[in-house]
Amino acid sequence: MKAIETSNLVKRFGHFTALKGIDLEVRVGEIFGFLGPNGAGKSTTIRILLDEIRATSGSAAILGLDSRRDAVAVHAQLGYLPSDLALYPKLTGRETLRFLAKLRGKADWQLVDDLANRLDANLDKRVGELSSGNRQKVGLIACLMHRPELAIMDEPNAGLDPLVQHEFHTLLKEVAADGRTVFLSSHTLSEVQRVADRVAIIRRGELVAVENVADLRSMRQVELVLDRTPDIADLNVRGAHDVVVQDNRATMNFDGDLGPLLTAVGSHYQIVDVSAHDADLEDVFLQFYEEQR
Amino acid sequence: MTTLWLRDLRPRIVGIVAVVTSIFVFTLIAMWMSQSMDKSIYEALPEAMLTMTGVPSGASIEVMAYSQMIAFLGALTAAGYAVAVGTGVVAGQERARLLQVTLAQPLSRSRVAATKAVTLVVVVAIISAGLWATSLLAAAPFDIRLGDSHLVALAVALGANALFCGAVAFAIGAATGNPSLAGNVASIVVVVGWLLAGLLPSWSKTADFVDYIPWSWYSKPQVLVNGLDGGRLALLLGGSAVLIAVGIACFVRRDLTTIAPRSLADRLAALMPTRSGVSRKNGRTPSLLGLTLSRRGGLLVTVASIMSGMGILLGPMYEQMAPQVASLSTTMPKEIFEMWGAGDMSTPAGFYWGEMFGLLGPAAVIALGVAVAAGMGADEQERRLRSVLAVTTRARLAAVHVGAQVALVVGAAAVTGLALWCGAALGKLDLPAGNILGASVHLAALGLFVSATALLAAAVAGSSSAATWTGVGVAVIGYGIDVAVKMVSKYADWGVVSPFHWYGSSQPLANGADWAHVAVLVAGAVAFWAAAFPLFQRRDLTA
Repeated sequence: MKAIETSNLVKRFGHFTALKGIDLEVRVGEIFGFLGPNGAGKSTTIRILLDEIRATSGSAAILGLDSRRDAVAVHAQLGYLPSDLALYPKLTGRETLRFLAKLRGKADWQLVDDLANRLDANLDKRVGELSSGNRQKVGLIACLMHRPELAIMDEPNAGLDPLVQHEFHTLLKEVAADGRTVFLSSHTLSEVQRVADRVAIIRRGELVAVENVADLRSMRQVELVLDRTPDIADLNVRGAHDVVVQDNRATMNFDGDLGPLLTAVGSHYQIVDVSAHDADLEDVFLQFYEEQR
Repeated sequence: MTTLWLRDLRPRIVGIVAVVTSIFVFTLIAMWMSQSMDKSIYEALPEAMLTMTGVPSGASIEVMAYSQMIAFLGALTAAGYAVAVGTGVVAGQERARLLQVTLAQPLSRSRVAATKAVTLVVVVAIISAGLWATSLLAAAPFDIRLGDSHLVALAVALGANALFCGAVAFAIGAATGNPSLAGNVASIVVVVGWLLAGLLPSWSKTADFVDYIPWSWYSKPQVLVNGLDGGRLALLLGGSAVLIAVGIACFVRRDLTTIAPRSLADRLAALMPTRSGVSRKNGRTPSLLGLTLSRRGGLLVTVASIMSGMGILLGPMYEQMAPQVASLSTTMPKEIFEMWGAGDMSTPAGFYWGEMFGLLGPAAVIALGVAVAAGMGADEQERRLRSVLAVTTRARLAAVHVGAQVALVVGAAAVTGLALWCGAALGKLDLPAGNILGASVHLAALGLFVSATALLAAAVAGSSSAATWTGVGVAVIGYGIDVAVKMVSKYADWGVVSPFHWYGSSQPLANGADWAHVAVLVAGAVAFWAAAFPLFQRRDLTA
């Protein structure tokens, strides 16, 4: 059983096609990052999973249940933190959680207190008087307070300070270690890089990549200093992307072992200096978009 | 599901209490003042005529106050509040993105929507019960015979009518997720229904059509006097049930609305001046005033449509109805008409004043002006103001809202005057253009006065509800005082405390503008605005 499984998910709004056949699999027990720029279709996908909107065609299953037909049963096992979280402004944080717990029929109040302590959340103030970060903490607690099998979080770290973000990431890892699943939609690439096991990148309604974060990070940025200005064709080695030549200096993203690259370049030029470092996810993310543009 | 409907009910308790209390106070005042009324003209009326004025068989003349304060004002207020609730429980919460959080819980959509409908029913039931209690309590201090007054039946019918109006808003809101559309359409059903239910029976050719107007299912049976009309009550309740069922069925099937409220970034981008004065995408950069006005565009279109339609139609209608109206005017005491905001209905000026300027016109211009003030309060509550104030000053922001109030109120008054002029021309009525202009100026002045009180409240309290309740309170209390002092000549001098005295006492449609009266209202508005500026500038923002 998959935590989330979508098959050829299509969503049209009039003439505009927001999702063009998304096939997505999220495994139980993993933290899955969902990346994409504004308008790529991230929120549309999440809204279909939550049964807020309905797919034009295709299907979505959550924990083996149909996201639309079995919506009530799905929601019983789900925690959800929407982007642009809206709560009743006149309720305190604690009243908000009590209200949601009553609707849901369960909450672990020991866990609520624990989460409030760890996130340094003030639950006694009216939500309308809280800063956006403190309001977000209430949303995070609401999302996790019933120990959901799957937590879907849309931009969860909005407004959180670095210390709380760190604690939040630890929480996510604990949820995954407990065998439960986190689906994390985010613009903050460093956050996804830090916590996610796998990442999907969506662009203009299409899934352009689903990769292990570790694999993505195996791509390195390489800089070569040569004895003279190289011909760019000589650097067109398998695994090399985005080659830029400036005088006798060549930079590139390189996917694979460095040996064949150095051998190939060394057969034409004398290598004066070489440096290589792991690409961070932001570089990879940007690269995906550059390639697709 | 008790949790959910109680959650929706709690924030509305203040509104419910305000509705019931204000109607209770008005009824009490009307009862008290009617003790001093010269009742001889009523006592001379035959019983059939008395029942037409709203006095049940065997009841004291004072019970007539029930017709005005509970059966009319109470019904209108209850229906208006029900529309607000019907709009807010689904479409309003969806627009505020609160519904999404609720629906993420293990609850089916049909269950959530049905619970929202229960909230509407409960609110209406409490208001109906409250108005029933009001009718008993208001009579208690006085020696008044209730005779065959059907007070329970009145409360039931009034509630059924309010439920129907609220159900219209609920159905449209649930089906579309658009609170503006739901509120505007339901308001039209209330206002136009009320007007047509009164107008259509006056002309033999249109009298039969009144049965198609939902408001007439409530008003036509004169429940206070005659008791419940089972058929019409069934229409109201059955219609409500159908509307609610349709709303729920549509809600279950549709997508939740995808359009999020405009982000701060978008709002600021629209406000930020660019070097060329031209924004990158949309041509001209909208001004702050343009943005403020555009937010009330839907309400303006609704108000302008109603006032235009009524103004144009009434002329030809009066031409046909003149004999019946003249006959009614000679047989009924003028105090009865004055209670309804009308004067001498036998003249075109009196007829137009009664139908358009007595209640409808003031309600239209006040709604627009108060909406602007409420918007300023809402922006502060919802933290939008902070971003806007990053690019402008508080004084400019307040000035823009004053400007928007002036533009909308004067615009609505102008549309009303223009429509009236067209209607008078079509009906070949003797209504001088100067008098029409005068009446429009009076209408605008009243609208500005009440709107300014609402803006002052928004400036002081930074809250949408403070602005709304202040504006509505000044209007309703002012209207109540104006009506009450007209009933009892002994208290006539007190009329000057009501803005409605300065608005209508000189009968501007019949006699032309009374510029001194206009000046009093405009000076009052300017004073409230002038007070609002420093108070807004000096205080801390609330959010």
